[in-house]
Amino acid sequence: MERSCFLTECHGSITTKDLFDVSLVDDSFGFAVGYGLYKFDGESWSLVNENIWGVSIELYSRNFGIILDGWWTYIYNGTHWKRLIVDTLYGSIFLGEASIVNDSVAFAVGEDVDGPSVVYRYQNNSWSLMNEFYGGSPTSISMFNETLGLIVGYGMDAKGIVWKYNGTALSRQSIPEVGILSKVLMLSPDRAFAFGDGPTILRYDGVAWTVEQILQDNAPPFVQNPFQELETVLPNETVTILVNVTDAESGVGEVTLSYTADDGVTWTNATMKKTAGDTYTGWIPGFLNGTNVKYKITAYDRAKNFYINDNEGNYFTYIVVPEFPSWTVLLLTLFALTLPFIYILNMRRKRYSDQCPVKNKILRDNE
Amino acid sequence: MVVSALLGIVLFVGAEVCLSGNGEALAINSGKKLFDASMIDDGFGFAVGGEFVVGGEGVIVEYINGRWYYIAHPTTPTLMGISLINETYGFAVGFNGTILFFDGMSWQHHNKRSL
Repeated sequence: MERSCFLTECHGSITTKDLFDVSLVDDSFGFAVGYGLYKFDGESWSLVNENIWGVSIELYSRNFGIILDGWWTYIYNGTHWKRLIVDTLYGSIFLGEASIVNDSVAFAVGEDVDGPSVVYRYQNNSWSLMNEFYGGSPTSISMFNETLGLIVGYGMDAKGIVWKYNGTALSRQSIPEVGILSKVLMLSPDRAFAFGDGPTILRYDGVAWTVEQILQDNAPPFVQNPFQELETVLPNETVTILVNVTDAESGVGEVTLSYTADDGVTWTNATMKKTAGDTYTGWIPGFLNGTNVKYKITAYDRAKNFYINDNEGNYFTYIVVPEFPSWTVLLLTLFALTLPFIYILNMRRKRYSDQCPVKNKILRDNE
Repeated sequence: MVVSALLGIVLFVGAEVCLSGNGEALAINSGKKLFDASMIDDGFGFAVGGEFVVGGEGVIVEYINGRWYYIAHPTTPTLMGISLINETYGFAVGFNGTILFFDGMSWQHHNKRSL
């Protein structure tokens, strides 16, 4: 089978650091296998067991996982990997890939080197032989549930084969003529994909298998004009820039906000974050009063096509203004200058009032 | 009409590349293999592989908007395994201890390791 040669006949073409499979449960827990078992803790990968050599790994949760290394299997129980022998009539079983159905059941496919192809079922800490068959070598299995799954592989003619598997019996499916198939994913009863040489991708729609075309994306993403949250920018005020970016083919890759505060002599790039839907957000830090800030948006799709929206060469711009605009300063100045006159007038009025007590009394009485 | 009809015809150039009706280049057979795939749902996923020879080059294809696309990636040896947990987080591994990290936007070499 395809993967078995990694550890046997093809040994001379690989290095001791080769990694053959990886499985993550979440963003802080996962394992990778190759010549050694490596654990991911959310930050880095580290070697945890150099004696476990695996060709495939499947984690169902933080408490259940399976490693197949051909001759041996390892079961993860939440704390450590326990080696488990697969009983075989022929004594040389080689399991290549497992598919875990739930927290206690899994299926695996492989071959007995001197015998038939096999399907094994794992439950209650042991492997049970479910099927032996000839006519093809299985490379991958994907079980949607305990009674519905798919197996792929290849025949003696190196052409791809797909079997439907109901947990107890296999039935060969009609597929287009393709090369060796190495992987199958069953997403639902009416959706599956198989992958293999060519490269080839087959799609299953519940009725038939068809060849998928793998496209080359040559079109850049579309970058709309950015929206600047602040129209008037004061000194040292951070400015938020929003922009809509779309890509109808391979999808939006990286979106970068580039800005300059010295008329283009130096540009600073900041990766924009996808904040909602097609909207990406970036921030320009605060600058001093009078700074003329220019910015542009560059977007890549995943095929590395890119588009720069620089407002047709004029860039998007704003000027940092003083915290108190000039008209405000003028008003304050005028007000400050009038204060002495108001004071003087008040003083004169008070003095006049003190000098005419009789007249003031008459006035009060009349009121 | 004639032009449209001609554009609709699939033209093969050798056995390697053809053009579809809308002018996209479609790779037919690059000699590379796909060894593993990981899909979040029926709408998003990746498959990885490459040439199974010494010094072979890796390949990544992405499933998005209902179609598969070759995507650009850092120069990498053949990739053997991939695992995604969502549309913005995943790893791919391969020959020579290669570990790539997907952050939702692009694949980058992951250097925090002690292989």
